[in-house]
Amino acid sequence: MSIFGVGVFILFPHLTSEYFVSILTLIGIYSIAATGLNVLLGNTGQISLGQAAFYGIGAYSSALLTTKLSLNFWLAMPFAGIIAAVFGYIVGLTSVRLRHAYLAMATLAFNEIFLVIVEQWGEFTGGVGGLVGIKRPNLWGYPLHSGASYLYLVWFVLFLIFFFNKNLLRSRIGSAISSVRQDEVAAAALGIKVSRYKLKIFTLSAFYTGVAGSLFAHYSRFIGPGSFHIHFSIVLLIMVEIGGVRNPFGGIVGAAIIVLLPELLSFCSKLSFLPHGIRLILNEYSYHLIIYGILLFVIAVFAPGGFVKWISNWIGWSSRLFMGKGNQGWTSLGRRD
Amino acid sequence: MLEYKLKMDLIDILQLLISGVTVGGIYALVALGFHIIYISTRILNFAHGVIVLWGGLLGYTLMVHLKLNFFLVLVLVLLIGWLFGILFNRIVIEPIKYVSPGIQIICLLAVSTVFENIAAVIWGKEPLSFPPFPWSKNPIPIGKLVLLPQSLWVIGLTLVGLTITQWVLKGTMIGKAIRATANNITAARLMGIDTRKTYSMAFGIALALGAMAGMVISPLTFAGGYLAIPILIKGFTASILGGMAAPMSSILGGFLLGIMESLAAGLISTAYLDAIIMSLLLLILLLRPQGLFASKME
Repeated sequence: MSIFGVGVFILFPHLTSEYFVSILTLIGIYSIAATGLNVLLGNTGQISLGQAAFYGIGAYSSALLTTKLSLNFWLAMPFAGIIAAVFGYIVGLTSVRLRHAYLAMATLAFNEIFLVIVEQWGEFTGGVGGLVGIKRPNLWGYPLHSGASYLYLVWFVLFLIFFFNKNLLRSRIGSAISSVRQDEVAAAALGIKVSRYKLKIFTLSAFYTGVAGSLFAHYSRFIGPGSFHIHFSIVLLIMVEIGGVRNPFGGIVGAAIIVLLPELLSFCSKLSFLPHGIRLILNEYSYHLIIYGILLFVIAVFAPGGFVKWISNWIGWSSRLFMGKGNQGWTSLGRRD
Repeated sequence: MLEYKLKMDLIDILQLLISGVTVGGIYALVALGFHIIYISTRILNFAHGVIVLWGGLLGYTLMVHLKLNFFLVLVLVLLIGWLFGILFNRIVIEPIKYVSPGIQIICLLAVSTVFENIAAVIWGKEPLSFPPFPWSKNPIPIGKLVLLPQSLWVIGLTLVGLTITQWVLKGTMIGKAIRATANNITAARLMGIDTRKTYSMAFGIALALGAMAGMVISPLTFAGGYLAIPILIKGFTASILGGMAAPMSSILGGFLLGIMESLAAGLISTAYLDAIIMSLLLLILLLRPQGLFASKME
């Protein structure tokens, strides 16, 4: 079954268009970044609104390392992750002292600082105009120019990060982290160094996001400050919220929905039977952000476990309703003896 | 450029101070709004920046498109801000009052994004230039100093706003109810205070102040554009600089931030100004999160 799945996955890009490949690649890259935020939000409950900055640090480091120092991509990508992780460690130092709204504001400020520096330090980062001339990587002399080959690379990295993450959370460190999430005071009383674990998770989150940024830079071959605006931090937050915090697949599902939604909307804008006004609206990025915002609010208030959990709960509930199987939920309320 | 900076004397410093106080007044208004919401609901209003943005744009439409009298516009902006605050409390805050702080932040950010983009749809993405307030055609010279009448407007309206708010909080029953709710919500309820009404009032006052701040600052900067988040961070910096807990200290924090910003722009660098201010915020959050003037953090 799984071999069949892998086979389909390898054949798939050859069968379909370049457009589909690009969408799948973007989903892969955003999934890595969203997984980075999910690790943070799901394990220690810390909100970071500076993820776009880590993403940008990864992208710029990788781009500058390969263009200015002509470093190999395969070295530059992990390096970009490490540089982002170093910044993550520094910002994480504030996360040890601050919680909730204060941490959110501190990370927001960090993102602004990053943007100002990128825009002003023109001779190094290309300023507002951005950086051009970033190359696709070579694999044993075979350049990954085609969309499909880059798609494999992105999903391979996503696969690695996904499994590393899963095993990490199942390890001793993972249990310690989960105890911190459940009760900080009890964990501290048991001798777990709470702030050290918080810092580690923050650094790890920045590392994942930095790697995603590096992949993005080599995918689009052009980066500018516009891609790393605070809106991207918020969009990442929406991905994680939709997919479900602490759901290991949450980041991937959320990224898929957020990448596919604008495509769906712009597809709808081509439908001729809709009025002209609505078709214009469906194509506009501002309207997309309005829709995202409403979606985020509704999901955060009414389905805090995420869209996936909500759907699965709903399906479970309705299947019990129609099949009459299982006596949990509302049916058990009737029989109180 | 460098020589000019070296020659900077007392007059230039005073000039910078004046513009600092002007901008500081706006930060004080924003910070006071933050403070009122924070003490009465323990929520940091992440959507406050967008309210300031909307205040400016609303004033723009009323003055330029509808050509209303300036004073009428001012009153209308305050009134609409107040009504919007009550609605905001009803629609946004009520459902998220009892959820975890993380989800509150996410929801308020969502609201901020929605309103920012609605503004971008209605008024366009580019900032609009706001017409000057009445009697502010010519700058007023005082010795070697030059005083922009707009600065006087800003400082005057800020002081009026602050005084009225102080009076409402300290001198009226509503203010007393807000302060009682801030102190202990359960006790306030037991004493027969309708805390839902208090929340509405707190949001009404805070958002009216925010909207007025947006309108007053617009002739000096611009109205609109994607500025909600920078305004939010600066207002927050002002209130954290002074300390969240007391109204006077958040006002002082606003003026202090304005002066520091203007001095930093004049003496260090305008290009990196925002980065300097944000680094200051990070430093304060790390070293003295209770604020400069507060004695302890509650």
